[in-house]
Amino acid sequence: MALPPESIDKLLPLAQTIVVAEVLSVSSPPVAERDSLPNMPLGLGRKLPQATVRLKVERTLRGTAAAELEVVKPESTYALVPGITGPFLLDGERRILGRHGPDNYSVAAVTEALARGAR
Amino acid sequence: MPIARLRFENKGEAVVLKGTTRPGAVVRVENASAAPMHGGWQSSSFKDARANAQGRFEVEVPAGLEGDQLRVRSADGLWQVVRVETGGVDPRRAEFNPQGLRLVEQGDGRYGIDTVSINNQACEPHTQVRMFNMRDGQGVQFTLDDEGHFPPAFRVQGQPGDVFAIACSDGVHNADFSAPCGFLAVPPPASAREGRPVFEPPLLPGDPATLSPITGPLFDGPPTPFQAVQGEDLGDCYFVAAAAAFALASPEKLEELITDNEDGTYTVVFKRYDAEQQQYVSEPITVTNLLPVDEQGRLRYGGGAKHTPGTQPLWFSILEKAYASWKGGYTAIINGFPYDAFEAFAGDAGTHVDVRSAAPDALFDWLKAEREQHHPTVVWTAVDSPEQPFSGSQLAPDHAYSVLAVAGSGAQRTVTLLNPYGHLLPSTGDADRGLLTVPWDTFLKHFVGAGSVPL
Repeated sequence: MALPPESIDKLLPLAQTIVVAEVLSVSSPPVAERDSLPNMPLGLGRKLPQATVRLKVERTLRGTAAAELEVVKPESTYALVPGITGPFLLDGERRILGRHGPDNYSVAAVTEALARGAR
Repeated sequence: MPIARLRFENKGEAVVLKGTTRPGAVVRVENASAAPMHGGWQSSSFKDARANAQGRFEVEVPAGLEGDQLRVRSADGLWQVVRVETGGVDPRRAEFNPQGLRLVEQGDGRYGIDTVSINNQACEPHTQVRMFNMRDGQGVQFTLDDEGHFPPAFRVQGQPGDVFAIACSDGVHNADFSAPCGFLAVPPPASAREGRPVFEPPLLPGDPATLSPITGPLFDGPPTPFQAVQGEDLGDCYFVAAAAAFALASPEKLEELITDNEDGTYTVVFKRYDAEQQQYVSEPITVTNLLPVDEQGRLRYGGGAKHTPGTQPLWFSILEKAYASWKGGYTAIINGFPYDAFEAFAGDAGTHVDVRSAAPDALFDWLKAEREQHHPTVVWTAVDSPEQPFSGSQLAPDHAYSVLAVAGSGAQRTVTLLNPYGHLLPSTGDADRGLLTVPWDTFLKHFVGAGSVPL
């Protein structure tokens, strides 16, 4: 997607749970073949549908989380498949926050922001 | 003699058009659905075939896919539009190019359409377009003609600063017009563009930013690509990447684009293709130093939020503001192609390549040659998909990158890219400026378009 990640200070207050996790499975409605051709102007962000995602939690950085979590990937421009790892910021309804999901921030950036007391 | 017995054959890797016409005649096939990437001015969008002694011809459709609209010209010069039909599924949605268009005042608050680009096709032929004014919800719906142009009678009601959301459908994709494909804004009155500014480009809808006079040098030495940084909420990566590539290729020509009027205003001279004169004309746009900032005083749009205003040269923020002013507002510069920006900067749309239909070795050599000739060069990625996920690649999908270097040979070939974000995805820390060197295989996996322009 053409937009940069949101400022971490903007998303952290919304994140009730933050985990470092690996995607185990993704359930989403069937998607028609996506147009990925160069005749598309850049900037709007083509969206993949909402999906239910099962995560294997490696570490919990904020809140409490079981070893496995079922979360919601909202309609978004990024794709998730099993094996993808990263920090997942989750809101109160276990929806993944951030335009780029687990690629929005590095684990180090999240840890550093939490350490400096970001809410 | 007209063309007859047109039929398509899907050969897996390619769609072939067959037909008959006068023996020995040349038939031209242009894929209008691959536009606006491939305008009629670009050689890779069309192919010619000569009919044999029996009048039969066979031609591979350039970048052909099921459902594409082709313009086919016979020896007598007549064009006809035909749709690729081989019994498959139409995978290509109709894509609209808003940056090549502008609304033009017709009187009584009505606006018609004009082009600013030499590639004057708005979308594929016969696309249904719906436009509605985001201020009052008033809208129009119409169908593009055989050449993908707006109908001559097209008019919308509006006032300077109004933004029209555009949705389009080829009858298969986006049939409910729910997905927007771009925006057009009503520009300032012509009188306001003469002399000093009176038009502040409207911000994004709902943006809480305030305008603040930003002082500081326009340039602090030759402009560098690292000074063009995308704002957090403005989807104009194509413009940022093109500006950065321009700064790398010719900082002196970039400096010539912008004049500091030394009264808190700046004048940027863009190029517009004038269809009547059949040449590019200069369009000076003057803007103030009022730039949108957030509650912490950081730049909201181009220039980069991580920089404190006044501590870095202003050229990119001013260039972006002038482009937004020219187009009628910041919303109107969302969504575009790098060549839209190249054309506005250089008066030349340059050359653009479909990465996935190009021969990889020839493409690499071309990219390398473009960099060696100091041509601004930009590449752009595919949309994300479960089949080819971007996660972990440090690349963003549906995103433009400036090409800084092309190097190596054989299996060691690499392309060094600059992300308009000013950092990688995700950022690797304070020292991260967005530079990434990717192996050629990775490039071919994730990128779909490439473009450059001679200066």
